[in-house]
Amino acid sequence: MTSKILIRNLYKIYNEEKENQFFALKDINIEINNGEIVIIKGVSGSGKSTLLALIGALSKPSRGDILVENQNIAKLPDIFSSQYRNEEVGFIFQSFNLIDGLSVYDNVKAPLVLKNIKQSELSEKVEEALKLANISHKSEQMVSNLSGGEKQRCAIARALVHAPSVILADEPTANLDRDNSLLFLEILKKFKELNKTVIVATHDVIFDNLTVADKYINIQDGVVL
Amino acid sequence: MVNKNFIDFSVVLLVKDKKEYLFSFFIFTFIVFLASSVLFISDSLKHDLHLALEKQHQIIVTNTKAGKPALLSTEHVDSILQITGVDNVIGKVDGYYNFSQDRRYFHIVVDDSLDNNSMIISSEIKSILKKFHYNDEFNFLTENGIISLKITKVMDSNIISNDVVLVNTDVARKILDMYEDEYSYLDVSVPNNNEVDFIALKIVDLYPSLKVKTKNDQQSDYEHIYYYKGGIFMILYIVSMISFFILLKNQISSVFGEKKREIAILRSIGFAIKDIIHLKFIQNSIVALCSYFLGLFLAYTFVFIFDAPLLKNIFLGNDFNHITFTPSLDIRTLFLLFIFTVIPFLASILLPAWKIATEDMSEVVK
Repeated sequence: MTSKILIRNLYKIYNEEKENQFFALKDINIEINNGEIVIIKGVSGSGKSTLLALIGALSKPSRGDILVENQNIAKLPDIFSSQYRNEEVGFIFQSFNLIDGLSVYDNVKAPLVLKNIKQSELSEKVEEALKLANISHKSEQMVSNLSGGEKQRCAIARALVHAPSVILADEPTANLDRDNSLLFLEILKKFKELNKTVIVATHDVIFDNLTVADKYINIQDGVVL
Repeated sequence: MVNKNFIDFSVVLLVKDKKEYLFSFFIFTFIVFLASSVLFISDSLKHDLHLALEKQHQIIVTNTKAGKPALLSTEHVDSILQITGVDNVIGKVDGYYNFSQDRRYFHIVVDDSLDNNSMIISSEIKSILKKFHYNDEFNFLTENGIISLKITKVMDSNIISNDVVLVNTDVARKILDMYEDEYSYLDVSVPNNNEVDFIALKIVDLYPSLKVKTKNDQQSDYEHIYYYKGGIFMILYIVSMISFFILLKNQISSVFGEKKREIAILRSIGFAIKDIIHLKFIQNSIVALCSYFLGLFLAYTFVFIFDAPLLKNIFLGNDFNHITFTPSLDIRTLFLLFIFTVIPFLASILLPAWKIATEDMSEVVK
């Protein structure tokens, strides 16, 4: 399943109605169609990561709506927004956000442990995701022993394991060398083949003029240009 | 509803952080061990004392002369027997023999199943006599000469029997230098429990110099024996409490720092606040329950199998070296211990975990 995302009059204000009030996002209106690859560009502190966190229901907007398949995720209580993240969203973070001390396999299976599925089915899904991210050969390794590129692939496998319709990638190449960054672009093509809706927040020039990208959104000071 | 995969994953995370949890595990086990050892010892002592009390009649009568203990006579027995409501009065021979070589008193108690040449002693007395090379027999030195008795049996020492020497009535009279018509105390039997206090008053009316103790009075006396130990109890409990607060502080701080990031990661992949609480509950329940039952097991072994070395001396002093604690478990006490240790232990991790899980995670996982 893929999701159409509609963002209307979205605001994120920190310290609202206080002296140090700060507008992280101001009146954002975006429409993202199913299966599109969207690149959100902007310098550090422009609000692109905040926008990604709001689309992923990691954070609540101050005002406005985020409709994913006509469901307003901005207004969902925790239990449903968590369910939305667990079923519809896969995150790839700049710092990978893997759990140190666990193996690649255990990190990748984490989103599935909330589902009441058989052990064999769980293993099958994890193996499939590991294969898709080309990290099967490291499945028993501790993530702390992996290189940056391998950690990235482990994070990708974790983002894919529960077959989400939306992939959110926040500065996915910031901690990668050029070769691994190029590899990530190849993975974007794979996402496209899988008909995933992908939103990448980045300031890396490597994402400029990509043929695989359907839309570019530029953000500056919390406003879409 | 928590599924098996979730429980497995919780255990995987627990094993990952085993070093941090081991600290909590050991401290918690120590606290449960210390607290339950104290409880086991006091329960065991109370159990033995109450058991001894149950075997006694409703009223015990002793005599005083010029405010000091004195013997009773057959006349006392006959007079008390005349009081309406008294079923029987038995004169008992009982007293203390001064073993001056070791500055110890032996409690001479009557057992008429023994013959004139034999005695039964406690293991504590046995060890004292052994020090003075009395192995199979012992000579009581009295004003009327030496009474030599064979040791036919050694019984376990407990709080009652620790200093006891059992001999028959005739031998006891000789050792204690008592005549045929003299008694150490009287055991008064009253069939109707409601009349016990009334009859006790009547006995005092009859003989103002007599001391009359009902079963209830004796029970209070036994409980008073342990009141002076209150300070020791207090110190042990304070040690437990301080350790427990250290443990709670460790628990709370363990949720912050790296654990906060871990919670944020789990939240980002779809764990709801309730899932985080479940996860922490499972992990800490495993630690708390394992610690609790290990602490109980160690305390049980320490008190009832090894007879609580060190702690025994704190409780009973140095005169009770060979005492055996009768196994006695008060489920209500163990339940209270569970409530006052396991519940705060779980709360100390669940509350901060809940607080962190409700925070905005987007900044933490950036």
